[in-house]
Amino acid sequence: VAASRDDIVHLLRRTEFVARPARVAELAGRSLAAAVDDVLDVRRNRTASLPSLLRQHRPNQVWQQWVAATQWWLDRMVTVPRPFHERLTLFWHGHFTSSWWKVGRTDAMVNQNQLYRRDGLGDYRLLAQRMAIEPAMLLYLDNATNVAGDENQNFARELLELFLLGVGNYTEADVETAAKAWTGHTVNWSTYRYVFRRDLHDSSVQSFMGVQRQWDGPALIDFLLRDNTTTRTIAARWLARKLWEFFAHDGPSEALVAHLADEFVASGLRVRALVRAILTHPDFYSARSRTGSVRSPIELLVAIMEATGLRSAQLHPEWFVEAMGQVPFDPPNVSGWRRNSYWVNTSSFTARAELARHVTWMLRRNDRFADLATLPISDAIGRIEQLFRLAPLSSTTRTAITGWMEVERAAEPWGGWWQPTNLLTMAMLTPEFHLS
Amino acid sequence: VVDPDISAAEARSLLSLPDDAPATWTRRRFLSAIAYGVTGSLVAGSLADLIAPGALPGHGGAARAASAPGGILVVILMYGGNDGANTVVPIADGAYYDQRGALAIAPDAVLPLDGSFGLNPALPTLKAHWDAGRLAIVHGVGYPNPDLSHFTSMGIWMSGRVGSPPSTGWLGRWLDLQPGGDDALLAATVSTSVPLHLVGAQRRGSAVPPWGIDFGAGSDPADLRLYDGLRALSAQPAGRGPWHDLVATTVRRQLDLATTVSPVFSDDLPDSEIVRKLVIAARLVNAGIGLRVVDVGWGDFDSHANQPWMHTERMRELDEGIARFYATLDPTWHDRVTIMTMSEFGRTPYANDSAGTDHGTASCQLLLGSSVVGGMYGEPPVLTGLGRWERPAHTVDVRSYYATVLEGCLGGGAAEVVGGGFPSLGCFGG
Repeated sequence: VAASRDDIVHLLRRTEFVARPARVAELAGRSLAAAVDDVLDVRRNRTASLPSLLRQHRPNQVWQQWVAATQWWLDRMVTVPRPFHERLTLFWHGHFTSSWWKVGRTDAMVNQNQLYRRDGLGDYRLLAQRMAIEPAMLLYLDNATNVAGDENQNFARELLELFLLGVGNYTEADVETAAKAWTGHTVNWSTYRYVFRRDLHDSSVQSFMGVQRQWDGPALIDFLLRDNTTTRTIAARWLARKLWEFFAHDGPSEALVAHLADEFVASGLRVRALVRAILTHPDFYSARSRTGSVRSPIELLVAIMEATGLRSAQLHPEWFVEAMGQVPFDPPNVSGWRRNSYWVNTSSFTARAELARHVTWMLRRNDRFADLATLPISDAIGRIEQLFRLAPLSSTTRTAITGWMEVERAAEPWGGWWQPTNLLTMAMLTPEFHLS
Repeated sequence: VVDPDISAAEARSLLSLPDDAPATWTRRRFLSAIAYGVTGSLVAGSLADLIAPGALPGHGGAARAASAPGGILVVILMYGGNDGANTVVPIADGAYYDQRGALAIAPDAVLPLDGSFGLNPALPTLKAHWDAGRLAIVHGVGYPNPDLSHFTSMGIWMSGRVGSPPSTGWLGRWLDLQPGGDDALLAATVSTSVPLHLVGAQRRGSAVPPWGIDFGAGSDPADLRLYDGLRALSAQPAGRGPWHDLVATTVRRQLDLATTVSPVFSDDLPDSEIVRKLVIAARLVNAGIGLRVVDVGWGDFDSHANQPWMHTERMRELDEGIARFYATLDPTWHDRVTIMTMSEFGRTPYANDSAGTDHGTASCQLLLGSSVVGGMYGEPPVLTGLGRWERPAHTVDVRSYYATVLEGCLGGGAAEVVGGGFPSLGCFGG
C-alpha cells in the first residue's frame, strides 16, 4: 500500500533535514517500508573525501581547520543524495561526543566524524569498541592519561553513565573496575594514534557487575553489549529511547521503547534495524510525532541553505553556530546537545533572527525574489511557502503574514526594496520553519 | 605530552553554552578579547550616562511594583583563579610573608580591616563598604579533593556539585525551582554565552550581549511594521502542537526583550570589560524587569607570571566596577541587591620563579550588600607548615557558601540546589 504524501514529507523532514520536492516525487507511490529503505540507502552517497586543509593536523591553523570541517560537513548535509547519513552522523556526534577544543587535534576530530559516518548504521557493539579507542575520545575523556595506580575515571564513568547504560544501572564499584580495565589504552604522544600500553595497564583481578576477572576495556564492552543479556537489554533500551527522541518526539512510552529495543536485540544490535523499526512504527507518523521536534541550529542552517541555494562558502555557517548554541565538533559538555526546549529561548532566537536578517541581506539582489513585491499577496505567500518548504502554513501564520503585507503595502504603495527582504525574514521566522 | 590542563579562557568557553552572540562575534574574537583584555581609560561617571528608573518606556513604577519581590543577586566571576591572599591580605601571618616573598603586600600598604587582615590597596571602594558594615569576607572557600585544572575546578564551582559531571549549574537549579513565568528575564548574564552556573535542567538564564541586542530594537517604520507582523505569529494557538506555539511566543518575547533592554545601551558605556558589564547590570536592575540574578565575569586572573602588575590591574577593575555599579544603581534598589564573587580556585601560597603564583585551592570570597552583615566568616586557610608545593585545605565548602546566598538573598532552596548538610554561614541580617 502506497504511503501518503504527508507521511513521505514527514519522513523526509526528519531524516533528510528537508522534504525536497524532487525526493517527495521520487518516493511517491511507494510503500512506507520501501520509502524508508530508500532513505537508508546511504551507499548512494559517495565516500566522504576530505578537503585538503583537513588531511593533517596543523597546529597553527586549528581555527581555520575547524571552519573547514564545519563548512565541509554542513555542505554534505545539504548536498549528498541521502542526507539521512549525515543526520545520523550528527546524532552519533552528540552521543559518543567529543569537543575540538579539549581534544585539540584536527586529525582526531575528523577521524572520529568519519568513523560515525562509516560505521554509524552497522553493529552497535563494534561502533562502541571503535569509538572507545579513537584518539579523539581517548583525549576528550582523559583515558589517554588513565594509567594503573593513577586511574582517571572520566571515560569509564561516562561509558556507563551517558554512553551505554544510564544512571542507576551500575554501581560506583563498577565504575572503579571499568576505569582500571581501561588503563593503558592511550595514544602514542608523537603520532596521536591509539596504542595499548601493557606496562600502564592494571591486570589485577577485579569485580565488575558481580563477575571476577582480569578485566580489559574492550572485553568489558563485549560483556555489556553481547555476553550479559541484562545489560544488553538495558543498553538497547538506552539507545532506542535516545534515537526515538532524536527522530520522533520526547518521552516515548516504556512499551514503545521496549518494543524498539526488542527489535534491536533481535537484529544483533544492528543500528539499521533499530532505525528502520523507528521509521516504520505507526507512532512515528502520529500527530504527537509530527509536531514534536524543533530544528536544532545546524538543522536550521541546512534548511536555509537548501531553500536559498547558498552554500557554506557564501553563507559562512561558522559565523552563526555559536550564537545559536550548537557549534559542530564542540558540544557544551559530554552529554552532547539536548533538544527542543533547549533551542527555544529568547537569546537563541535573537541569533536565529539575526541569521535570517543576514540571509535576506545576501539575497537582496537575487532575481528569484524580485517579484515578491508585486505579486498579489496570496501568491507571494504561496511562493515563500513553497520556497522554504512551509506548506501548509497554519492559518495563524498565514493571517499574520497577510495582515503584515496589507499594512506594509498600504504604508508604502510604491514598494520599498525592503518589502521582499522583510517577507523572506518573516518566512524564516515562522514557527513552521523552526519545526523539524 | 599534552598539557593535561587547559587555559582558563578555554575552560570558560567549554563551560558556557554559546548563545546570543551576533553573527560576527566568533569564538576566535571572543577568546582573543579575553586573552588581550579590553583596555581603555575610564571616564568618571556622569549622571548623563546613568539610566534613571522610570525613564524606560513601559517600565515605570507600575512595572517595578509588579516585579517579583526578593533579593537580587549580582554574581561576579573572576575567571582564572583569583589570588585571595593578595585580595584580603593576612598581614599578621608570618607564613604568608615567608612564602610569598616579593609578591607579598606589606602590612603598611594594605587598607586595614582589623588586626589580622587588610584589603589590597587597589580596593578603596570595598574598604568603604567594609567600614559601612556591608562587606562580608568568607575565608577558605573550596571543596574536598581540590582539582588544579581550570576546567574541572570551574565545573565544580559552577555546578555546585562535587564528584559528578557538571551538567547543570547551581543557579540554574535554583531557576528550575522558581514558579513558571518569563524565565528569560529571571536570570541574565551580560555576555555572549550563558555560563554553566545559570543553566538548569529545565530553564536557563538569558544572555544579554555587552553591546545590546540588534534585532527587535530598530526604530525604522518598516522595521516596526515587521515586528508587529512577527508578534501576530503568536496571536492565537496554531493547532500545530506546543512547540509551534512556543516558538511563536518566543519570537514575540525576543522582540520584547530587545525593546526592554535597548535603553540600557542607549548611553555611553565604559570600555573596561567588567566596569561596562557592571554598569549594564545596574541598569538592568533599574529597568525593573523582574531579574533576580545578573551574572558578570571577566579575567584574566591566572597570574602565573608578572603577578604584581596583573593582579593589581584586576583589583583596580573590580573596585572601579563596584563603584560604578552602585553609582548607577538607583537607591530604591539598594536594599535588595547582593553582590557575590566566585573564582575557580585561589593561588599557591608560595610564589613561583616567574613573579607569579600557580593554581591553588581554597580562597576567600566577597559578599556585599545592604542586607549583608559585614565581617569575617569562616576560618582562614592554615599556611603554617606548608611545603613548597603544598596548598592549604579549605575551611568552608563552596556549597555552604552557596547555601548562604540562596537562603539570604534568593529565598531559599539550598537543600534542593546543593543538597542537605551544607549549613548557611549566616552572613545576612534579618
